[in-house]
Amino acid sequence: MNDERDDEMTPELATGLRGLRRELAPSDLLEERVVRALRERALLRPRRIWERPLRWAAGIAAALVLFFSGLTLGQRTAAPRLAAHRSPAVSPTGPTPVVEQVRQTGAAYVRAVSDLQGASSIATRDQGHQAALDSLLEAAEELSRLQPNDPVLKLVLRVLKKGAGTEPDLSSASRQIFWV
Amino acid sequence: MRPEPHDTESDARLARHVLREGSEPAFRTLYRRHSPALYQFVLRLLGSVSEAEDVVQDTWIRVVEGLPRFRWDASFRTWLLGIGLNRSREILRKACRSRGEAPLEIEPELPAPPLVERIDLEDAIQALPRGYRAVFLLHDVEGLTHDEIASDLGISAGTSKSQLYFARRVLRSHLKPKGVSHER
Repeated sequence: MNDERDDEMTPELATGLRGLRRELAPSDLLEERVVRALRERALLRPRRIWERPLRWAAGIAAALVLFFSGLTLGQRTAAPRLAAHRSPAVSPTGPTPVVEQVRQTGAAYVRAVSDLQGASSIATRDQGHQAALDSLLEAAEELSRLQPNDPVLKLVLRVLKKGAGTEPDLSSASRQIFWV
Repeated sequence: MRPEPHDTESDARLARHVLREGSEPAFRTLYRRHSPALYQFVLRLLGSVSEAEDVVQDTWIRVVEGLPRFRWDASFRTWLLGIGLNRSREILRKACRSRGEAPLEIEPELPAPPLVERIDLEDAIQALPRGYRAVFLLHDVEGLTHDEIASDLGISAGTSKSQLYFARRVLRSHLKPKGVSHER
């Protein structure tokens, strides 16, 4: 820092220098004068008593908005995946995975049958129609094993088997259909 | 003075608050931290309270205006004192022009002080010619090098050295105990 030799420095001068005041506070009025001058030049913003509480309130409001936005977004995006992979332990009151799978598969079946209407060739529609009936029959058989005494299911199964050529007598079934 | 929440923050951080947000509390903290040194420095240099106060005000305005360009290579205080010194030189130049003097230039060798009374160093500094005084204050009080002084004052380092030499010589003679003849 200081690169001067001390050979010109007498003890009196060195002592005097050490005792020399380095700082002297100017008056408070000068501080206000300087601040005012800076405000007038738009170099400082005036301090307002409501500024800090308002800033806090704005911060809290922003945090709340962010939190609830995230929550809503998370629920929307995660709900389908949760529904698809939900386990009984996680959600005991909701549908089990098997039931949900039946629903989804059934919906896919209905959509596929519906799509047959848009098939370009008759052969495709016929093949699709037959495949749909076969699937329906298989499903009805599975259901009858699950609920053997369900009268509606019995009737449906009989009609389907008749259509598939596995049930010779359809008359009583037809009557039941009309009477049910 | 009331303590401010920024009291423990660094100069650079406070300056950033002032620059980006125009933060008055940050500025006041900076002001209170450095103004006593600035004020003492320019008061010694100018010898006038009102002129020193004007310089302090102008210096802070220039500092805040110049913050975007300050690179923090030097300390904030050094930069502040440099601006204060330049502003003081402008005032001295103006005053000297009106009196037909040359400000902050090599002074002719001083005649011997008429009195050999021991006087206070503060008074002795005030009695120094302005050029000597500036160099002495910057070197012996503020601790700047001759190269830094030369750059600040727009003189050569050699001139700075010779002015310091004469300044110390005059001060030594002022500080001689009573009854001892001063050197010449």
